[in-house]
Amino acid sequence: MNHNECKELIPFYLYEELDTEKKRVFEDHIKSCTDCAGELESYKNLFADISEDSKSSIDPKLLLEARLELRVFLKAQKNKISYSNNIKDYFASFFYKPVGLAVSGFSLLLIGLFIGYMVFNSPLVNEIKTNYTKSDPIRIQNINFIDSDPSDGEVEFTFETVQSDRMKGNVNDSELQKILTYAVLNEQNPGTRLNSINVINANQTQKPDDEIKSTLITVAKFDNNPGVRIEALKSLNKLPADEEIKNTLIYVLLNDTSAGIRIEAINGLVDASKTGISLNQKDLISLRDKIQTENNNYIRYQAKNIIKEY
Amino acid sequence: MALTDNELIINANNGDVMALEELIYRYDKMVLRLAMKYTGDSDDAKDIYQEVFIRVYKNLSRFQFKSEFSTWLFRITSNVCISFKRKYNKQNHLSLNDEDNSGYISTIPDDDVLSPENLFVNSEHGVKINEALNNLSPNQKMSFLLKHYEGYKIREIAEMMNCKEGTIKKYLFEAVRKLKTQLENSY
Repeated sequence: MNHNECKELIPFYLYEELDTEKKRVFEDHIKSCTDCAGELESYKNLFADISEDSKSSIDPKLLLEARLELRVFLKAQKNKISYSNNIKDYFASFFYKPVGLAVSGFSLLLIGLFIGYMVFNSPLVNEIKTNYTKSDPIRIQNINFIDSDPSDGEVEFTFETVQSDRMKGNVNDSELQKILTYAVLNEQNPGTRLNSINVINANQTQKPDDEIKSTLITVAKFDNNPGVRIEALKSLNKLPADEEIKNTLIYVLLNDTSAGIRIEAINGLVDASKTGISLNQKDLISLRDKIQTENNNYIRYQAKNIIKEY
Repeated sequence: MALTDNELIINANNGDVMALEELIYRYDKMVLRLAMKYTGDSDDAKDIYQEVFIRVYKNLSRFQFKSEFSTWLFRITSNVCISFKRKYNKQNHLSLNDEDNSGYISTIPDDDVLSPENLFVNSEHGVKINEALNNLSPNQKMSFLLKHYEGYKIREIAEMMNCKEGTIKKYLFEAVRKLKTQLENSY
């Protein structure tokens, strides 16, 4: 191997992208060539330099902003394709075909039979677990013009169709839980997010639902309202501690700007330690760093106590 | 037990909004970090983030399950980043040279946007690395970021960027060589 070949392989050697044979030849050459060995050293320094920069992490605020903007877009997209249009288009496609007309007539007959069966065969009195009603008329809101110029005879706009629904039921009902979990993540009003967390929390006992846990984790980390974040954290602290919850507590401890929330996080970590959740080397380093930068005495004190255990 | 990416894709394609969100949240930090490193500007990074996930949302039903979702996602990300940079450079170039540049003037970032405080870096050292990265071609930069910061194998990067492995090696080698020259000169 000559010097040029060797120098060309240096980045790939450092990235561990050489096959065994090439690596052996490369290392043999480095051992016998001070020039190339020096070049390897300078690349190692460069890589160390650049890698130092890679430690910077994403600003959680930026991530939250990006997520919220995306959510707004996705909501708008979904509203563009309304269910009513789909159903209308589906039936409209039958009208000009005689066979289609027969099929749609038969379908209507089947639907009628099905409804009749459901009405007359269901028990009239039953324990109503969840009462879900769609009574209010559809409302139109958030009209946004794409083309508001009427001069060519056409305009174009998007809008949202909203129908108020009502649900009453047991807090353990899975459908009810699913809707509230969605609200925790998507509802704009922080008060509603808080109420939803409280209801979800009432249901979480020894065996938490994975979806709910993951929602609570996202909210504890990224919700823009501190009141909602702390409620989510409190709910997480009530669940049986595990690795995922521990990592969330550490993340909140290191990143949240509110001292009250960081206190909740450190308390959660203390409790988690008592239940046998252990901290790894990286966690301990993060805690040590936190002690240096944290200005709240209680948090520093508790962090020291946790470290002492190891 | 957590669902796999493929299970989440199937659920998302069946209209499960939570599945789509979970899928996005699994990878969106990586996408945003990559976009941030690529552009050095938080607003541009957010634009790329939006564009990537809008494309994911619109094309998820066409995902063939032939590759990992992450590979597909980073292919979209690298396409969006590279075309974003090209568009940006082209518009910037036009705005500086055309007599009538009023249509492009808004694309020129003002000084405040380019100030170190607004970059992804929080040190002088980081600023120098960002400047050096900005002097790489879009393909060189993307290959380098995927390799160095995200740790993908050359084979995987080739799949993401729809190139041959040899091409990625060339981009990577040139990127590292240029960074070395520029950073050595800056100290």
